[in-house]
Amino acid sequence: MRQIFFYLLLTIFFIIVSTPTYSQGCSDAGFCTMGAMQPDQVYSKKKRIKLRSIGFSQYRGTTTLSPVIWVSTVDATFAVKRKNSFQLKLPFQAVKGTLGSNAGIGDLSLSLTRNLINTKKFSINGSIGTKIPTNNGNSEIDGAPAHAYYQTSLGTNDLIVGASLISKKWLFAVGYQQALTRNESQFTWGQTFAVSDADSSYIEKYELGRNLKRGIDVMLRVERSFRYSNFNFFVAALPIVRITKDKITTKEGNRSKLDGTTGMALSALIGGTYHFNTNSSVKFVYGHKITDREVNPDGLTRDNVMSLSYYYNF
Amino acid sequence: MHFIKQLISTLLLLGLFPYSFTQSTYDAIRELLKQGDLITAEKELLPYSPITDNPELLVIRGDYYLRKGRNNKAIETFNKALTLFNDKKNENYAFCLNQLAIAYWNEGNNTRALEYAFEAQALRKKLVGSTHESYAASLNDIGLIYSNSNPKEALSYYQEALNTYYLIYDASDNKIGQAHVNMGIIHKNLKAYGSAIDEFNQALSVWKVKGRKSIRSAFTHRYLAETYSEMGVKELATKEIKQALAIYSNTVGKHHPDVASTLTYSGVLKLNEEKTDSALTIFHKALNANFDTNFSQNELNPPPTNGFFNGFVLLNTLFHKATTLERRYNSKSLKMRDLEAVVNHILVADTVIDKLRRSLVKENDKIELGKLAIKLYEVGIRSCYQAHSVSFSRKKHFLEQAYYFAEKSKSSVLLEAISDAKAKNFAGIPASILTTEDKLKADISFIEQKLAQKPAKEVALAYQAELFKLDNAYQTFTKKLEKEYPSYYQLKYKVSPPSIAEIQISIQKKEALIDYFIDESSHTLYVFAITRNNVSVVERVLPEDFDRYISGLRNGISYQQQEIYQTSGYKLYQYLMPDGISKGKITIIPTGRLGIIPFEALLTKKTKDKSYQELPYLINDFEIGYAYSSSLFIQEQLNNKTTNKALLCAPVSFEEMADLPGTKQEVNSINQLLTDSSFTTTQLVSEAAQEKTIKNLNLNEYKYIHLATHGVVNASQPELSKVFLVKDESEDGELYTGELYNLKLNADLVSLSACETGLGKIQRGEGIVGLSRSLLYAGAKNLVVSLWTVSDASTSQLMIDLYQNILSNSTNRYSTPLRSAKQALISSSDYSAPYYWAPFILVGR
Repeated sequence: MRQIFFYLLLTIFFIIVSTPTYSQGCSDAGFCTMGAMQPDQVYSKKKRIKLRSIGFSQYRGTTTLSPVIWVSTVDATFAVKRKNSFQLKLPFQAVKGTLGSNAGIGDLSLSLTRNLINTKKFSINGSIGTKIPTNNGNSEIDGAPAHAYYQTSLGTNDLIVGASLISKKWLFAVGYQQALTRNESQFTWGQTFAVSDADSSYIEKYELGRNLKRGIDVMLRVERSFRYSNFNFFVAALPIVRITKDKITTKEGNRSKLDGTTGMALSALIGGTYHFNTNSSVKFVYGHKITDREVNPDGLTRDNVMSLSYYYNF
Repeated sequence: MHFIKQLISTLLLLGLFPYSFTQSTYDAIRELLKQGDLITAEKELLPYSPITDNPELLVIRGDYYLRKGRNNKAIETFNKALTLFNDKKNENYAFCLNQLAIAYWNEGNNTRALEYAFEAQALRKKLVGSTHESYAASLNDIGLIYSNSNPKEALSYYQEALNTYYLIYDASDNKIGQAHVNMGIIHKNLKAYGSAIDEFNQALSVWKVKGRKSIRSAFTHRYLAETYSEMGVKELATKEIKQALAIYSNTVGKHHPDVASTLTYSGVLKLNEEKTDSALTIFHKALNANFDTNFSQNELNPPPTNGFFNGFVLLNTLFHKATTLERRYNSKSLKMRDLEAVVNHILVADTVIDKLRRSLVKENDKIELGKLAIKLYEVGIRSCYQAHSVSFSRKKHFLEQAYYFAEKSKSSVLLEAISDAKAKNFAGIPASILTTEDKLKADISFIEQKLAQKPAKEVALAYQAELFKLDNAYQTFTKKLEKEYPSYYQLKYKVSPPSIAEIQISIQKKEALIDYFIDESSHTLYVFAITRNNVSVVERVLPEDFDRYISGLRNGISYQQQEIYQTSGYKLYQYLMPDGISKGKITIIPTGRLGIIPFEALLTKKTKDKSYQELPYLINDFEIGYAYSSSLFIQEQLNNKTTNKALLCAPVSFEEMADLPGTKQEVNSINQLLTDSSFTTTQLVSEAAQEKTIKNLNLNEYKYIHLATHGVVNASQPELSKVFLVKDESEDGELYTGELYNLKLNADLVSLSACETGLGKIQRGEGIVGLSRSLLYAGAKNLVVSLWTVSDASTSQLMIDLYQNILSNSTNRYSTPLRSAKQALISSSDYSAPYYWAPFILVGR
């Protein structure tokens, strides 16, 4: 019965991901993979998974426009007094698209996670964290400010909090991310030379976000896990709702709230982990957009994302 | 070797064999064995191998086997020697008795071992007095047998032996060394480590003077290692264990039970250092050491189930290896093959446990084995549950395996006893032979009961001597039966728990079997729920103070403290009741202390400010019965007896206990109900309720037996639990457990409206050992017994209602009428508190 249920879910998922959709997806400013909000978390009351880990992941994301984003991340977690863990993520990001290419160190993520409740049937963890920008979000390509898609940093300091409830079969996570500062993006359509005049309608799809301060995001992750001896996989839905409007500086120099930037970005995810043993594992995640917000000047939209990671626990 | 044996046989046949086995040869080889020189002893014994009818030779041969660790062969050889002795009043005969005691002790047959050791001691006292080496040896060996069960008694025997040795020998004698080692072990067990180390070092200095490193010194180093390890001095422990293994290697080689045991301990030391893989390698080596040759180099392979030297050592190694594999799975490998290996090792242990149980004679020893067995089954159930949780395609297989282990851990001694009784019926053994057996069993239980009352030393010695004779006679009788009636032998040992599918066949719609197992090492409760079409298991970690809720429920009910009762009743319901069981009928198979609570009184909701009549009792949702194990559950089918006969008994007045005037009315009312329903009744009231009268009745004719009397349960010595009747010139009017065992019942229902008749000694691996167990063995199909002292008047009302419901109800179950009778009390104004109705439980359906 359980197997039938699983195959049914799998089939539904593939129907979703193989259906052409025109919206954007996977709009995540970083909190979805931090601390308690991460996908496919370890849950075992008996297996002694080690408390420190270092991971290397390779990520590829495509957008509905031309940029393709590659990110290599070092992800280190250290236990602090058994119930707490500290996570540090340092990405190196490269992007290539019609408007050129760019590469550099991405934003540093730091988070502290604490196990709040631990029962035989479930655990509840809470996280608090921040994103520290590695540049101002206004790096240039060929002498002109690049659009947010082509930036390696969001250019803002962010506050992140979240919590998760994990059982053997389910993971429910909620998160909150708020940009505390604005970036220094100066991208305008007229300064970009990589496309001809005939393609101006294309360039206008890159929504303007001068001195962008992103609105507040909240997320909910609903994940069904299938756990076996040394492998597990999951299917998940990840709605991220921007509850306040993005703010930008207008041509006139005024700060303005941007209409259409609030709303839900919904993604479907599938993935799994194979544990070679308690020290060593590989993880795969594939995410596909279902819906996204109408206006996205932050360059976070993805059509689909894929990541492959190796973790060493010690 | 074969040629030599053939040559000797031929020479013997021709009367040309040049060797004769004389007393001097006996003495010489016995001395070699005493010195631990097994190799020379073996060579010396070889020429006499064709001789099989010389008792002295057999004794020496048995001693050789004993020292080689071949216990089974030793026991067989000693027993044969005992039958060949013409003169049973000499030292050789006493030595044989003594060594047989040691061999039995090695096999876990402690009670039997003590009987033989005492017999040898008594004979030696007569032969040589109490200041002789052989008498001191007896004292020493009795101490050895007591060492685990009663360390203080052991220490006193050792001290007496040592004092005697000092009178006879100089301080460097082997005997003195041995006595020091034995006392050291007891000190170690009592955690007097300083004294233990002193004793061991004194022993080593004795053997140093002797100039030879023998098994004895290896043994001493091994125990020094244990002492240092317990003290936390790891380096010294490792050093001592290495020395012990080196000496063993030079003296007995790689295959010997002592080597297996020492390697196992060495593995434990490695495990303490978190070196899981190294520990596994050592445990595997230890398993190989318990066989003549290595059985496998693959560490995932379990050993074979036969050919081992020492079953108890094997079980100990299997336990450690299995837990280490489990640990490796959880802490490192995550590979299913490790979990599967755990299960395979426990399956081997299960077979070994069965074999050992067959070799044990006395029930106490079987129960002791059950305590070791349950530790192994705990590992098995834990691993099967985990494998069940993480397996991709074999979930059902592991669930069934977990249930098998859970069932094997329950009431195995009772099941074997019932199986034995049934086997005798099916094997067509003539009644005259069975009468002989009944007489022997009655005599044995009489003596055991007298010994349990702890008489004066001289009287106890006389009883022990008598018991020794009776046990021997019973063993000879059983062996003869097994030989002459092979089908009896086969049926007797055909005790295997039913599969889940077999259980499901006997479960009706809206009925469930709920079976509990508590893994004490991880404080985890496993609840198996079997219905006609489904089976599930849940794992619940119990709080450290879980027992508090059990006590809370019992005390809250007994003292009518409603708040405590309600808190405990609801909490226990949450822990114990699995989800998804439809309202209807349930049979509970409890474990440990769960056997002393009435599940009927659990509360299904959290409540406040409600009267007893309004509380949400579990009995509102379910008809509830109890069983000792699933094997008994499927056997407890009704007889469909056509004979409508009932026995009703109430002594009413008692010499040392309060009179029960209500029981007279109770029995009269039930009698009226039964006679109105065309039953023929035998009513024994007041003076007529004599023990002798009841014993002389043809009890297997009665469909219903109702005893309305006092009952007393002795939780520390179950053999002293009893039901009170009326005494006469030949019987004391107290029907003890042993006497209940020997009743021949075939009743559909036995009801004991007496106090606490459902209680008894809670034995790990066996459940509650008390009056109920005896009655089930005697042949009762269903029992109504009580869990605490009950009011005379409410009991009478409940019992009368019960029989009225039975007779007016068309159902073929007793749970339905009992539930109705209880619900009538709940609805009443005077007896609605669970104190009045909850204690009576139905063992059966």
